[in-house]
Amino acid sequence: MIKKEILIVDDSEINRCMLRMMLEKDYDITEAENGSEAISIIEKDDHIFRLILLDLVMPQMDGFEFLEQLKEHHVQQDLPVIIISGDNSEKSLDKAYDLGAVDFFTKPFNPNIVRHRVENVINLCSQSYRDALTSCYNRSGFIQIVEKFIQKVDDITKYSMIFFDIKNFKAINSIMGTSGGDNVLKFTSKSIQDSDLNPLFVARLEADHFVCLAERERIDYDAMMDHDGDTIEIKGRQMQVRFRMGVAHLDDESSVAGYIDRAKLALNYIEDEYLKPYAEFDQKMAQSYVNTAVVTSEFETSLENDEFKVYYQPVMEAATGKVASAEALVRWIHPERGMVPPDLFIPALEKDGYISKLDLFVDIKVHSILKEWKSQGLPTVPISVNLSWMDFYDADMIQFLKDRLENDPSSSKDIRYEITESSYAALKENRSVILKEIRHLGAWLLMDDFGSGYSSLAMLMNYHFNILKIDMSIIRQLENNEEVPHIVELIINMSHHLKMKVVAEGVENENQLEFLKKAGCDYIQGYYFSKPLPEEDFKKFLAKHQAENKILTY
Amino acid sequence: MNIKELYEKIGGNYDDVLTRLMSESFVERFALMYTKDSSYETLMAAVGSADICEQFRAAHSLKGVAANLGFTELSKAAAELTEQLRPQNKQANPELVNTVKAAQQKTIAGLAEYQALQK
Repeated sequence: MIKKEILIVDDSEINRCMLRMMLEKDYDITEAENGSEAISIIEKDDHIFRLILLDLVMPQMDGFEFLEQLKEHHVQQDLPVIIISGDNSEKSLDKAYDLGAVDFFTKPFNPNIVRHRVENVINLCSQSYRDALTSCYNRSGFIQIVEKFIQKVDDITKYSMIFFDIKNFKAINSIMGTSGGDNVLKFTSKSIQDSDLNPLFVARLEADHFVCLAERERIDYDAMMDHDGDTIEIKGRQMQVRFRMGVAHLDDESSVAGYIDRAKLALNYIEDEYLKPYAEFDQKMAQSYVNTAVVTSEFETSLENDEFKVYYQPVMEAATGKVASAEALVRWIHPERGMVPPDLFIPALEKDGYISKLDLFVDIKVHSILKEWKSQGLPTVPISVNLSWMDFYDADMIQFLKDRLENDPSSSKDIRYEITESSYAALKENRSVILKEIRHLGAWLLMDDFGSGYSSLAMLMNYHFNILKIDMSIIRQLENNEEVPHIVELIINMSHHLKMKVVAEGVENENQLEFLKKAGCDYIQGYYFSKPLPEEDFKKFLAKHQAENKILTY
Repeated sequence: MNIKELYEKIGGNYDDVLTRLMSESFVERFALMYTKDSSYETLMAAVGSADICEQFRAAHSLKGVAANLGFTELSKAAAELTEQLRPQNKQANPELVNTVKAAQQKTIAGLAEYQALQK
């Protein structure tokens, strides 16, 4: 850890030296002979002072004038000042307190008093940038101090940001209780500070997330792995604490917060949680990181500029090959970057909470298209739109959907809603009533992506779905994993017992289609029949199928 | 003459300064720094210039430095002058200035003798 810096302002060299001698073991000392020299040192801003020790009686600029100027200049506003007082003359001390001094000590200097006062004041004044539990920096304190630090270093690329989380922290918390968890956090903070990384600054950002700034050359993964899994005794039990680490080397292209994000992002790229629980940020991640930032910053303008387009992928009845319905899928056609893949922008929008706006946009678009085509006498099929788990927290959006279903009951036959397992958590938080209400108003609900995640049966037990969609990742394995056909048959049987129809997603060839037909699958979605189509093409697709009498009537 | 004897000779409080500075070598180092300190000269210049404000400031500084070094006699003399000057409405009292002068001379002479003996 870097020593905290103290500025000593006193006109006597003997006094300054004496204070330096008493403090330099624990602090980094800078000296100024008088107030004006001190002001110019502070204004140069290449120090991060935690405290000023100030003599009041000095030639040039005295202590009072210095305090006034310090206030006026607004440099380091919360920088505390301790007065070095020649005597206890209350008058001058009162004046100094009025000007913002927080404590004083008198000559002759007593090292114990000096050290205690200094330590107390620094601790007291650091609460706003310290984490109370571990006493390392909190997020804002860390960002502030690292920003200052990297401004004054010659070569920023010599430093790295290292993000830590504790792998089994939730388990520790639930087994050991919060106080046990707190002990682990303190242990972690100390482990990081005492490690061979010799970090310059350490912070706890939130929960079990720690970050530190260290010299790049100090990073030795093998050495760090020796300590990963160190044990700590809590309430007589040995607990193993395992870290994961994400590392971002500084490169002068981002901000402190940006480097923290990068280091955190690298965690997602850890490949082997046990043997190699660390990853370094690289440009590939940078690409997706930049894009994530771009997505959220450009989203609203892009929506206004009509860059988001709704595509429609037909769903066919397996037995007859008739068009049964379609799924509305959103595409982002960026004026410069072209088609932005949905798996890039949708997670980004989910993260920043914009996804509900996009879901609503799709819903409104689909509704208006269906109305338009119907009024023109064109063929239509029911179209399903996706609801993100976040939508369940958007009361306005849910109210809008319910109002429309109430005011326009026919729309309940036109628009269906697809939700994924990721909504389960949201639904459990007292939001299940929303699904029931939507269903009650006549709309169909689809369980989307079944088989891609936990395939939770609880989800199927607790909520009634009209249709279950088998995820494309399962359909793709039909031919090369001999277990999969059995699993698909079981899913189809189970669904039928639960009075759900089944859609197989991602069907690409005849073999898959034939198997699914035999297994009793009701509907087929996938490139074998059609890729997602832009509005005009979908219109033609429907017209063509109508001409062949191949649109399913309900 | 050792450092303790020097303190006795110049009316200083050796035990106090040793407690504060922790080691004999620190005491010696700081005491000898005083031979290069200009607090006394600044005070004399201020007395000569009749600038009361500056006189107070300089006396106050000398008092502090001498106190830190454990030069009790010098510190006391400077303290008395400081208190006389504190209201900043009267010129320095020549008698008090003389006391400071005497204490200063005694201190400097002691330090010079000590230094000479070390060589």
